[in-house]
Amino acid sequence: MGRGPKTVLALVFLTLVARDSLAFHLIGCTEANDCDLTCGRRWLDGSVSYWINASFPDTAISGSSEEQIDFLRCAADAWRAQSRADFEFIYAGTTTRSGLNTNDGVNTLSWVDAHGGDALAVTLLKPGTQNGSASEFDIVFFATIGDDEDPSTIHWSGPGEPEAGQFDIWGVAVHEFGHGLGLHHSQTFEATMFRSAISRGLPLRTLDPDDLQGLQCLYGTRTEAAPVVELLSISPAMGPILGGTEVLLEGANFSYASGSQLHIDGAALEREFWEVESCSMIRIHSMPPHPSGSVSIQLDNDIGSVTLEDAYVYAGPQPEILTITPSEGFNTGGTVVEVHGENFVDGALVTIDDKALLEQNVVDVSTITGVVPETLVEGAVDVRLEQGEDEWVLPGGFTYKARPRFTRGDANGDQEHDLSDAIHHLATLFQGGPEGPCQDATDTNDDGVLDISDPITLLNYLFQDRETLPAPFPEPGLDPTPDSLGCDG
Amino acid sequence: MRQSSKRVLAWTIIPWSVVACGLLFPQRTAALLIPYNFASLVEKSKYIVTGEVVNIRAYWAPFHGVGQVIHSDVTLRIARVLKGAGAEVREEKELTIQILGGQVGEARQICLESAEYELGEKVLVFVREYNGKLWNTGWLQGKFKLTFDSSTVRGGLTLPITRDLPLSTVENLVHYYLQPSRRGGSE
Repeated sequence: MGRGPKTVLALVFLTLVARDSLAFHLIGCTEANDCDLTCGRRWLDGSVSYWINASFPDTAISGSSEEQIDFLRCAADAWRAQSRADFEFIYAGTTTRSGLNTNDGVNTLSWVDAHGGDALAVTLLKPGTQNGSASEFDIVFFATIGDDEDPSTIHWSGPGEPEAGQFDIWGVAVHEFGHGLGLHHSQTFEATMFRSAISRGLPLRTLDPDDLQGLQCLYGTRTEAAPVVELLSISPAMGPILGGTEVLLEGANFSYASGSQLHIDGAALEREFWEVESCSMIRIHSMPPHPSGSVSIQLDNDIGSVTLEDAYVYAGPQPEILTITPSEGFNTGGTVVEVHGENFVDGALVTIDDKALLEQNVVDVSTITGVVPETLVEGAVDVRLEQGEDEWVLPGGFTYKARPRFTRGDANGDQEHDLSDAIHHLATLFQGGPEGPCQDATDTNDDGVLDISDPITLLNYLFQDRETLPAPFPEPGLDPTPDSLGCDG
Repeated sequence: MRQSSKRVLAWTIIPWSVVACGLLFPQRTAALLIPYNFASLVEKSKYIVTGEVVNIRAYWAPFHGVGQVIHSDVTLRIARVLKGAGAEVREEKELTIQILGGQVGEARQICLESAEYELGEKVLVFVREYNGKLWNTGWLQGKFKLTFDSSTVRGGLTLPITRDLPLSTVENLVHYYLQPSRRGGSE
């Protein structure tokens, strides 16, 4: 190996070190510089093939071989999909080769059962015969790091996002592929090509402008179009209004869920309901309930934002109103009702005689609560449910009654104010006499309670020259103060 | 007596705490396993010495069983020992550090994370054992140039010592972090 023609190998290490807060741009990478020498070395034809040995042993954390391959391919693809540079990694397939051997003509990525010390992973780059060119590379991911006497197993995380003590295969691989295409380390703290990993390597999945600058420095520009995140398909594209459907989104430049946000019809979908499975696949575990009709799906991440209009159609089952309890109330409004039925979801609108139920709340799929609005109408009216494109009517489902008019203090209902009213109320209170026809009228002081203070108030009015009583008085009218007392008129 | 002891303790710890926390080592709490700030360099290093590079020898060797890689043995003549002084590690003795990369004949390897050394260079190094050899602790973060008169440590913005500091200051900081009460608190 060491006796061949001039061979220059570049070993590059992603080390697990604390990052400093100060940052520079990629070393020396300006248009005025010789990029080959300052930014790294390049593959002269702008592309390079690679093989994967998906051998991470802890499949419970790292995922199946197929999943590992997906993550590693995403890492390689990131350098094209997220950039405008004229470079491409070409996946050639799987291999059983592992380790570092830059004389076998095979560019491999493998996990090795070896101690990395301070290094999580290593890329070995063999320059080509032309100055500034590359001709071969290998990448290894180590099994352990830390002190020789007390090495720590590196828990390589595949599916989902790495937990404490784990490192992201995908993110770390993006960094190592960066070396594989020829980049040196960046001195920009946020860059994927910075020498160390933070946040378990997850943010390394998304290239920093400094990484992209270095890449274009080496390979030039293939397109003027900025990289975008894309949503290309959704499957299935239809589901019930009650939600719960598992949905797969296919697209490009998906990154990691905690750095992204998914919106269904403009509403953010909570993280627990979806995950990024690869750079081209998002799985929504359970679509949220939604009224019938088509909705948009929007994805935001560090690369950009994309909205797929009419991406998904909510359809069926038909929502129905079965009963409303109570089914009657005064037309002055204020009656609290429960609407019972089937297949209610958030966004449902209940109207009574075309007036929206106030303070509506979809309690569950079978119950909506609300407050009956005020109206001038008397008698039975329709109760209507509008839920997306669905509609349901309960004909005559609610009956408005006119609220009775009364005169304050007229406890016995004889339309006079005299001693008999006080005696009637006292008899009711202390002798078990019958109640008067209208509790509101008997509530002479309008405190919402029927007690001894009411006849006293009336007696004061009659015999102590009190000027007036609470409304309605002296003419009949409606009770201006809400209370729990009734009045049958 | 007790007040006097407290005063001594205060005058010993407070200035170095201020220097260490405020000036030198911005620390990221995100580091999960190995904190490579100055405190942890001191803690993790078996030896901390200054010296002059007197020899560099490159050779092929297996790299932890995953391939043949060029290594270099960098030999220092020790000038001062800040940590780990003993019969074999003391002034005028030699200390050899293994690094990745080097040139054997026409074959050359470059390890971007390994520290680079030049013959005659005066350095401050933090080293620890790695697979039976002494390596820079934290790779390139464990090596600092000294000025020609060895009075000043050359810091670096992305290194644990972020700016130039007198060697005496760094030495005091090393001693500060070697106090038993300071150990184990760097993470």
